[in-house]
Amino acid sequence: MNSAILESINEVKEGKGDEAITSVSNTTHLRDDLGLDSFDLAELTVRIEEKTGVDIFENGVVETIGEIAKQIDG
Amino acid sequence: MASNQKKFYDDSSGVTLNYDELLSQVSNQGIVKTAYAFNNSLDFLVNFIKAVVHEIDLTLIDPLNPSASLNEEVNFKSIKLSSLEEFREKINSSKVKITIFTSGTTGQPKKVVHSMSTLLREVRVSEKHSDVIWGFAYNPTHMAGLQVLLQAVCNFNPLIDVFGKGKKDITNILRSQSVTHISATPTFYRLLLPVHDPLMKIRSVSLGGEKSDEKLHANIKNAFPNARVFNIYASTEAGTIFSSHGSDFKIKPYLQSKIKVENNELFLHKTLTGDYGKTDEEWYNTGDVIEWIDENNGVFKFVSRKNEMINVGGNKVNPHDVEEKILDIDGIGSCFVYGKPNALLGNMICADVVLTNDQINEVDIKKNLRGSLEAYEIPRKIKIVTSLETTRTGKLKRN
Repeated sequence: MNSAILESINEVKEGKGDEAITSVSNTTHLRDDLGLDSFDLAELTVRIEEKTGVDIFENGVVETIGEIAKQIDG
Repeated sequence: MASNQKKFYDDSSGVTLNYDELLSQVSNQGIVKTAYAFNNSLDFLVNFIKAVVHEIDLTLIDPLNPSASLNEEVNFKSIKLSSLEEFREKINSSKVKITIFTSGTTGQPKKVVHSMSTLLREVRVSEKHSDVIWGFAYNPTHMAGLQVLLQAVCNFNPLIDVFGKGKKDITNILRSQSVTHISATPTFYRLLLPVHDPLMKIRSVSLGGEKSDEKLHANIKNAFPNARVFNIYASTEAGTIFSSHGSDFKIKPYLQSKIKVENNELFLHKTLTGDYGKTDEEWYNTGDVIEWIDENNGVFKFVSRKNEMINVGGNKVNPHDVEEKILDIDGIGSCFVYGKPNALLGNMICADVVLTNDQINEVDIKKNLRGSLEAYEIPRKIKIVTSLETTRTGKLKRN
């Protein structure tokens, strides 16, 4: 798992005052499992793009960690 | 099927209500909660309709703006409603006052009191609307949601609730419930699209509340190939004013004397607006800048806001208000708040700050802002910089 993903998620969560999470899997759902709303997702895309250079929403909306990883790994 | 067996509401997870059940809830004695914070959608909608029919003034509160939380209830007596037409007539002739709030551009949301005449102005009732099934995608405490609710109820159409649901659920629901009409913000469609298989049953798609773009329109065309696409211009102060199929809007003849344009800014006559606390004002300044396409025929397009409001997923944010709150925090020297274009929300609020105390960081600043700003106003990205540069025209330039 790309460490940039977990790091970015925790930056978003900390910014909201939520507790950091320690692990995610490919099936972790951004909205249902991590409680990220559309504002959080927007922030997450920016943070991941800064770290990896990849716009994870470029090919449409992603909903799970696995879909993000796929975008980053090309 | 008898017409009053028609569905009024379905949340696709077991909560449904038919029009005959709605009629009996509205006509049998009961209570109206007069200051209702939106929680459960069906209760909220039924409460709204009861208030309208029984003319019990109502304040609609978005839980994001808990500025007027009250727990008052008013009893109403049973009335006889023998048909849906009679029910609709009650809605049309209601003298109720409905108070709603703007999404809060200056920190404190602004209150606007509406009568049914503003809320119903653009509601269309006709036989051709009789088989419409609405995807209900708006928060019902705000103007756009009320417009969809009234359009549906006045034509006895079902409302299929998709508000706040995820992409997969929404597309499944739109398909399985054979939804034909949907009205939502561009952000809603950006989150939803593209879809795998086009939704052929959607006949009408409306967008409002923020600027849309060509890419989104192309995605909408692909996802809903049979739909007519409308752009809607509406405001909390005045309800729906214009709609069009493209970026050009035309002033309808009956509105010509009620709309004026000065220095390219759009003004609405007070007879079009609800009561927003400035009763001495003849004209309401929308703050929207337009450009005439064909002035003689009243055709124009929207260019921008006169002020610098940043639209974040349909919520308007005044960067100066955010800057003020950031500057209130100890250890901040100067700051610059701006919107960064974002595919999901239109814009994301960002801030560059210059610190006078190195001990504070991004998380501290956000934590500090949580008490004084709405969630959507808080910068999602805060960059610590050594100075803010300005250009020769006085605009802030990023380092």
